[in-house]
Amino acid sequence: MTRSVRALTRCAVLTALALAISVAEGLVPLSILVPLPGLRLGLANLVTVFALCRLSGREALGILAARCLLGALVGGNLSALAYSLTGGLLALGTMWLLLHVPALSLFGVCIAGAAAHNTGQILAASVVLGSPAVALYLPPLLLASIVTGAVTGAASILLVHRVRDVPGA
Amino acid sequence: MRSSAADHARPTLWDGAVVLLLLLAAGAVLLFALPRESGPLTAVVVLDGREVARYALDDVEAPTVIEVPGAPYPISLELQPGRIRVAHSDCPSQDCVRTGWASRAGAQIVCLPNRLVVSLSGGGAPAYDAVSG
Amino acid sequence: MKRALPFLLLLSLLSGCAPEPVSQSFFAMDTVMSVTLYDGGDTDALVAAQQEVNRLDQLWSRTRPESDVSRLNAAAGSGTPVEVDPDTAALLEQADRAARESGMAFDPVMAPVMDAWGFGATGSESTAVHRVPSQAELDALLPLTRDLPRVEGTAVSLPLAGQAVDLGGIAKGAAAGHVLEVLTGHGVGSAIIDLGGNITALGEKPDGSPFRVMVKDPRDSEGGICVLSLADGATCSTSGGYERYFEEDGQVYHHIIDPSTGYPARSGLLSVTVVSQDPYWADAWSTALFVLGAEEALDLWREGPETVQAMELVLVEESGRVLVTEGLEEDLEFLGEEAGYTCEIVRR
Repeated sequence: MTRSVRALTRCAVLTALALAISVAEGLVPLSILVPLPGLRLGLANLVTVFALCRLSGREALGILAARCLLGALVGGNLSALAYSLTGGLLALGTMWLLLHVPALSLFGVCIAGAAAHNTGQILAASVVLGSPAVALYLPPLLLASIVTGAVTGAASILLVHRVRDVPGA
Repeated sequence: MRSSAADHARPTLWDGAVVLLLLLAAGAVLLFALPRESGPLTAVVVLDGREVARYALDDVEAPTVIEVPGAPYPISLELQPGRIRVAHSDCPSQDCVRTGWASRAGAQIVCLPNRLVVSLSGGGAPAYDAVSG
Repeated sequence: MKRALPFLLLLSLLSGCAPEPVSQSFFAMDTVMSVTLYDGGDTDALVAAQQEVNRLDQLWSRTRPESDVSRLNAAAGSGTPVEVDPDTAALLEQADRAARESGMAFDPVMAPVMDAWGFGATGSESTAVHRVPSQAELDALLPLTRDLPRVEGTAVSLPLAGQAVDLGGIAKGAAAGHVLEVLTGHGVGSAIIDLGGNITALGEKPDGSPFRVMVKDPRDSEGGICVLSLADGATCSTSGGYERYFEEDGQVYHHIIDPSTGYPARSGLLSVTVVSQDPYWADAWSTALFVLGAEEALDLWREGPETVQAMELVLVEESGRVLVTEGLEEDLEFLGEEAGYTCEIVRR
C-alpha cells in the first residue's frame, strides 16, 4: 500500500514540475516568430526523459498525459492541448526508442526528442487548420530544437546523475 | 527503466550524427514546402481547408480592406500593393493581427481560432470557380 | 466531467460552421449540370432552377417524342404549322438570327447530316452508331440543311420534308438565360450556373472578386489553357471537336459539322471560347466561329455584326497558338505554357 502511494506521490510531484515548466515556457513570446498560439519550446520534455530513465515508460506516459490536460485547463488555451499532446507523445516515443541506443548520450536523445516534439506540434496545427501550409515553419523549429534539446539534455544529465536514488523506485 | 544512454556525461559522436540528420531534415522540408517564386505575387486565403479567395497583390492599386466571408470570428484583410495583413480580427488570440504585413513568397499569416491561413506565393496552381469546355 | 470538458470543447472547435457555397447537380439535355449559390443556401432557388431546365429540356429535346422540337420535326414539309411554347418560338427566332448573321456557320437545321454521322438524337453517346456517310448521302441531305424554320408567333413550321431542327448548339445558352431569371427572381445575388460546360456568372463572389473560369485544354481534359474573369451576367461557352468525336481508319471525325461541306469542320482550331453578355449568342457563336476558323472569327470580331463585336474570344489553334481578344487581357492567367501553348493578345 505504501509503495503505490509513494509511486503516486512521485508521479504527482513530477507532473507538477512538468506543469510548472510548461507554464513558464508559455510566457516566452514564441508567437512573434511563429504565429501559432500555444506553440511550446518543449522544455517540459526534461521531466519526460527523467521519468523514462529513472521510472518506467508507463509512468512517464501518465505524467505526460496529466501534464497536458492540466496545462490546457490552467492555461485556458484549448488549441495548446492538441499541440502539447501530439508533441509530447511523439517526443516520448522517440526518446524511449533512442534511450536504447548506447552510442547516444542524453544530449542526442533530448535533441531528437525536441525535434519530435516540434514535428508533432506542426502536425497538429496542420490538421486543425486543414492545410499543410504551416509545414513551412518546421525547418526553423527543427533548428531551434537543436538548441532546446541541448539545454534539456544538459539539465537531464545533471538530474539523472544527481538524483540516483528516487524514493520508492 | 535503466538504459545505457543515460550513462554518458558528455555528448558523443553519435549525438553529432543526430544533429546532422536534423539539419538535413530541415533542409529537405524547406525544399518541399517552399512555394514557387515564379509568377505574380499572390495571397491565397484558405479557410477551413478550402480556398476562399486569392488576391494578386501586384495588381492592387489602392489600399483595400476585405472581409473574409464565412469566418467564425469576423476577420478582415487589408491589401496594399505588394503586401497583405490582417486589418482586424475578433479572434481571442490576436496573433494574426500581431503578425503584421506579409509581403514575400512563403510568408504566412495564421489565425488558428478562425482556421484561416493566408499564404503568399509567387504563382502556383490557379484558382477557378468553374471550367468551360 | 472536468476531464471531459476540454475534450468536448476541443471537438467543438474542430467542427466549426463556416457557410460554404451550396450546389445542386443534375442531369439534363444529355449532360451534367450544376447551379452553385454563393450567398446563402436558398434551396428553393436551386430547385426552381433545376425545374426550369427540365421544363426546357422537355420542350427542346429531340429524343422525347412529345417535345416541341420532335413534333416540329415530325411535321416537316407537311405545310401545317405546329403550335409551340413561347419559349421555343423565342429560341427558334434567336437561332434564326445567329444562323443568318453567321452565314449559316451556325445551322440549327443540320440534324439530317448530323444523324447521318451518328451525332444526332441519341440518348447517350455510348449507344450512338458512328459512321462516315458517303458523298452521295451527303449530297442528298445537304439541301435539307439550308432552309430555316418559319416562325409566326407561336406557330412554327419546316418547309421541306426530311428537315429537322437540332438546337443542341444553342439550347444550353438559352437555358442559362432562363436560369438567370429564375435565380434573380428568388433574390440570388451570387451564383455560378454550369450547364454542361456552359458557364454563366450571376453577380460576383462574396469577397467582391469576379468569378474565375478555366478554359479547358482541348488536348488534356485535366489541364487548362487559361483562367479568365467572368463579369456579372456574362456567359462563357466553349465549342471544340474534342468534346464528341469518333475514329475510323485512323481518321478522327468530330461532331461540329461544317454546313457547307457536310464534314466535320477543319478550320485549324481546337476550340473556340466565347464570352458574351448574351447567353444565347455565347453558345451559338462558339459553334459558328469554330466552323469559320480563326481568321474569319477575328474579322467578324473587328468589323462584323454588333453581336460578335461585343463578344470576347479565346481561340485555341491546332498549332498551339492561343488567341485572346483584348477585352479578356485583364485578370487573364495563362496556364498553357507547360503544355506547349503560346498566348497572343489580339487588339482591335
